[in-house]
Amino acid sequence: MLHSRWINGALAYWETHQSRIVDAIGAAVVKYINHFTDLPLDNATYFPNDWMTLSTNAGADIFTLPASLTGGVLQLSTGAAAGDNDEVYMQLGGSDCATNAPFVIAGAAGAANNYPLYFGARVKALEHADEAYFVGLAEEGSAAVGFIAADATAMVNKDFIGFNTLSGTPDAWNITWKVTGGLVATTAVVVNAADWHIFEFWYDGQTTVSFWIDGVQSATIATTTAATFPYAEEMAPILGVKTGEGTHKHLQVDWLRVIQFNA
Amino acid sequence: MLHSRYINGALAYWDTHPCRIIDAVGGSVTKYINHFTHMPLDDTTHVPGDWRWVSDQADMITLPASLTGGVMNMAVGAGGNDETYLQLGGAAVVTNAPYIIAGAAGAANTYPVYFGARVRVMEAAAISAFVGLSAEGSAAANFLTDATGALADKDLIGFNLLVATPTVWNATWRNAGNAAAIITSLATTATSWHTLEFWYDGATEVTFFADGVPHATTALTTAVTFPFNEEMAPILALKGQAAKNLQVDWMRVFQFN
Repeated sequence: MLHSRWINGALAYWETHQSRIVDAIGAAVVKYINHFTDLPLDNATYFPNDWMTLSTNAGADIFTLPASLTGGVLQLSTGAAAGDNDEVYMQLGGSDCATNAPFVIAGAAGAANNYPLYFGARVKALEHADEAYFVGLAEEGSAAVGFIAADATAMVNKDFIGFNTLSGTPDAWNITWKVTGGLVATTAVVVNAADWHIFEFWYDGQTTVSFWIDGVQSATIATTTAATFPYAEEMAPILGVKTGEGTHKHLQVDWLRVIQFNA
Repeated sequence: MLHSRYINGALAYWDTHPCRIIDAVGGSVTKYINHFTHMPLDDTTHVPGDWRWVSDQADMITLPASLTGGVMNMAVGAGGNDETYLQLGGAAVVTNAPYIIAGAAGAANTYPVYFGARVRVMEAAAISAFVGLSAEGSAAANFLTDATGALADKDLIGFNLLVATPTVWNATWRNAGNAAAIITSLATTATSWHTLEFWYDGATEVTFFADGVPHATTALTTAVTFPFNEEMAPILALKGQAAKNLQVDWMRVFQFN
């Protein structure tokens, strides 16, 4: 059942927990909501027009909307021709050269910025053997070769926060965040990587980020003042897949919602 | 005056009838709303990026500057049986099918669907058109049959104009492999703007609305002619025996999962 509350003067809708935001209305709200009922694609390359993309392979099978799935689903694939370490990324913005960074968590040194932020996505990794997936926010320019490191073993040295799998533990989704130059923080939270999962996090506008897995709050908490946290960094939604072997891999995304309550 | 109600836990807004949904907010709602204030078009081919597009001619999609409110104009060439189709998804090859009405054998799936569009044709002779939902891959040559405008053998539900009766909009639905069902003449004077809508109640009935008025005849999802349990996507279709135009002011589709 849908409920509502005020956040920085905006009306925020939530269902089962007041930090799991479904939608929001307000003059100072910055929101991105996509049900993936459709996706603007280039007529020649079949790559998205409103995302910065990087793909090792070209073709019409990289970004697709599977006809067999209702509810609107986007599928990223490394492509049928995938070779070892092939990868595909899409970061919200525009076409091939425009990178965006509409969201920020906390201020300088991780101090409260009073702008709560919600991130949520319902995703499914179709394979879980020798590959890596990432769903979350990352700094501009992250949709580039090597955002996920060679052999899909680790994330690159960038500012990011979100959820991933790695080739060393392909059955597990992790909570992860990193500030460039710092250590990556990672906590395994969900097995059965091949199932649909809802991954969310909520920045409270102060110094805490809480994480939610399939509607249940994780015990893992991020403190924005920690040296490992990407505080005061402009970031944009990013989705990525990298294979660590010579077969193609797929990430499906049912919906993506990112909402920041500016003031 | 706007009202609201809960449907499957989501908040649904409506104006004059609780089945004519304006908008909805909920974690499990799948919605598509387009006021056609803008449209992503390829800067070379002018083909929409977020619809599968099939046409005999180039530059058949425009947003007329003379019309306020946001209007998309679909056209067909003057070649005779020229056709233009748009099906929601992406670019030229990607077909989507985000919506479904009823479950196996037409049994209730408890996921209500609203479809609505405000449309008109600019010519009411030697023309055929369709506005509604249909199976993936429907945006292809001869979805509307040459000369008659009869719909192809696809899973579909929506509203159409036929060449023989080009001044009236009908409600129609079809389960591929079976005959098409039709409720004739829901709205007359096809060159006027009409709001065409249908509502699946989540059980076994679909009600059609023309300009806000529910039609007495409904569709039963358990009928063999009904496209039950079929993944479908919004589609706009136009075919003419000369140059013709279909205009769409807005389109809204919601499913309350």
